[in-house]
Amino acid sequence: MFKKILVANRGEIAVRIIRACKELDVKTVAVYSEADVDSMHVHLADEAICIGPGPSSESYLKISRIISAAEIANVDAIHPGYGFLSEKAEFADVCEQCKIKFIGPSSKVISTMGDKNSARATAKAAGVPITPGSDGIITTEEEALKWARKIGYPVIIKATAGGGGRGMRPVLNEATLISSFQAASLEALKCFGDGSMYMEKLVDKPHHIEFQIVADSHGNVVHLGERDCSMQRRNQKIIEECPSPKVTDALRKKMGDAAVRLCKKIGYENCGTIEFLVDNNRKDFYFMEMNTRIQVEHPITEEVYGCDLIKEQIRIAAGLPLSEHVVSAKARGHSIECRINAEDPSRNFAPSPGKINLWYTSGGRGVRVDTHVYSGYEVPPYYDSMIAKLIVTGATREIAISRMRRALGEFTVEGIKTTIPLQSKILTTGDFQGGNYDITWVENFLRQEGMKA
Amino acid sequence: MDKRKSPAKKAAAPKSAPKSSAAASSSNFDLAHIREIVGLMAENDLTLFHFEKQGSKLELRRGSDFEAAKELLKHLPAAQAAPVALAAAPAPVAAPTPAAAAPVQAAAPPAASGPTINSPMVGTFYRATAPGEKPFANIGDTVDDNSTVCIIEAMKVMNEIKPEGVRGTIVRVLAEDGKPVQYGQPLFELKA
Repeated sequence: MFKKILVANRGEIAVRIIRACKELDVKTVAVYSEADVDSMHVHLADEAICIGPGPSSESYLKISRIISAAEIANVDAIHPGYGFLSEKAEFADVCEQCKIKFIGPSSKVISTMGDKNSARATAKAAGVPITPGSDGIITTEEEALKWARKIGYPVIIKATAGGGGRGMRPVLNEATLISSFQAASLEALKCFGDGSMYMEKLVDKPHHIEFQIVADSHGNVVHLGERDCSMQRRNQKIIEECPSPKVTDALRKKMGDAAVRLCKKIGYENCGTIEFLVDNNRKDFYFMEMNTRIQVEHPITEEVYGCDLIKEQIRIAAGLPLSEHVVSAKARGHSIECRINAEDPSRNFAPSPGKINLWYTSGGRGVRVDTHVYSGYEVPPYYDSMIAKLIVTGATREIAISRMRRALGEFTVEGIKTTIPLQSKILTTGDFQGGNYDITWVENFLRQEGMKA
Repeated sequence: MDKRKSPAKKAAAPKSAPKSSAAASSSNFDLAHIREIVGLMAENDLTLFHFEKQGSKLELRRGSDFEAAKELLKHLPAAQAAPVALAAAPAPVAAPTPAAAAPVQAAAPPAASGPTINSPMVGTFYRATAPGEKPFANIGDTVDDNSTVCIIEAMKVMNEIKPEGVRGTIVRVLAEDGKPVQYGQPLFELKA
């Protein structure tokens, strides 16, 4: 087992990783920006090193400073969390060269699956269904037009270097194809430094269903079921649940087997998630992308399958085989997560940074809160707006829903605005209670409520 | 335990600062003993401790110049890698932990009153190109944007550091030679 791990992240996930390390008796090193000097992850870690000013590009994304910190603190391994450098093959490569264990898959695997286009090709080769789409990068407008006609409208144009829901444009008909193609490519170039685009069929009213994979360095690969993440606003998830109310046992078996098959083919190691789109008919499923890291919503899988995925990540990276309880894990109960964001839903979800005067989280049976926030904490303006994850588990989906409504009701945040009122509202709708929502649901709901989607 | 340093904040001044100076004429006293005595003096509110035995002498005064104490303690045999400043002030850092590896950041020096040259990177601070060589910058030197003031080693690369946007005369060296520094950590204090 490692003696010391550097946590290359911030916020709630850094706290999460430090907690797992403490339970494994591993020392922790936090890195922080000047804006995060009072952050919880800094207080909890055994050592802390400042790596730059507030903006991420000057701190949490600075590979050289993070590696320097790892060297002067003499760490054995680095946990990248999610976002930031967690899917940067270059970072994993530098760690490998510096003989610091990167807690995740190899840089080669990150590279293969990180390129959305090559990931699709890899999935296809592993016999995993993919959405009909272009056979690679589309370089000209003529090509785009040709492919769109071949695939059939509606289509979606996506950036191959994109991720996290960015760099994509749906196109409903030929009239808007060329302009969408140009706009998407320009946006991708600006956001990811790479304007290469590919095209896929736009699946009708799809459900976003993802599978959790855990694989060790001894060839053992298991999946821990699915998470339904269809509740999204502008491709950002706001509520997730495990298991999905839409996935039958038969479908789960097919999708789970496909996920494991793909991971075995690429020699995947550590935790990862395969994202699928499932058609409204609940039979056809298509590979969308793979996230070669731990996901934000991993806690709902932990609650239902009875495991600690972060500890498992560390154990796998240290060369240990999968834990017995992970290999034999069975789903039990139902878990829902609400991502609490510092945003004002009534003002078009404008970010709401600032000082939190009062912070009271819910508690009680089946309530888990993953957060870095405390009373008096100042939410900085530089980073994403998620301030807490409220995870609620119950024996059945009905119990979990009623418990989540209870927990959201208690959750008190004063000083800034949050998405709690929105999520509370969503939980009361008949659609949510019946499990009848796809990835277009939230935006329709917001429009109905007279809010900007 | 407040173990992290904030480059943006001033180091908190110790509230009732029992400072002490030490004069030792031989190497019979090791740092651990001296620290113990200093602790006892503070506990019992003593201002002077004088010990002589077989030609060895140790004198500790409480309430005098902190900086002089630091300088003197530097000349004692450095058996341990303990941060020097802990011997005197009850700094914001807690009582010294007997860990084999010291915490990465040095104990906070007293707050600089003038402008400072801060570290633009994470790494190991060196005052000269090699041990025994002349330091790039000394107290009394006047430096500007073109002066190399030190080296910070990061990932096996020796980076020559120049002051960014500040210039002036060096009055204090704030970082320790050969010790790790973090982003924003004050390295040199310039004349106010």
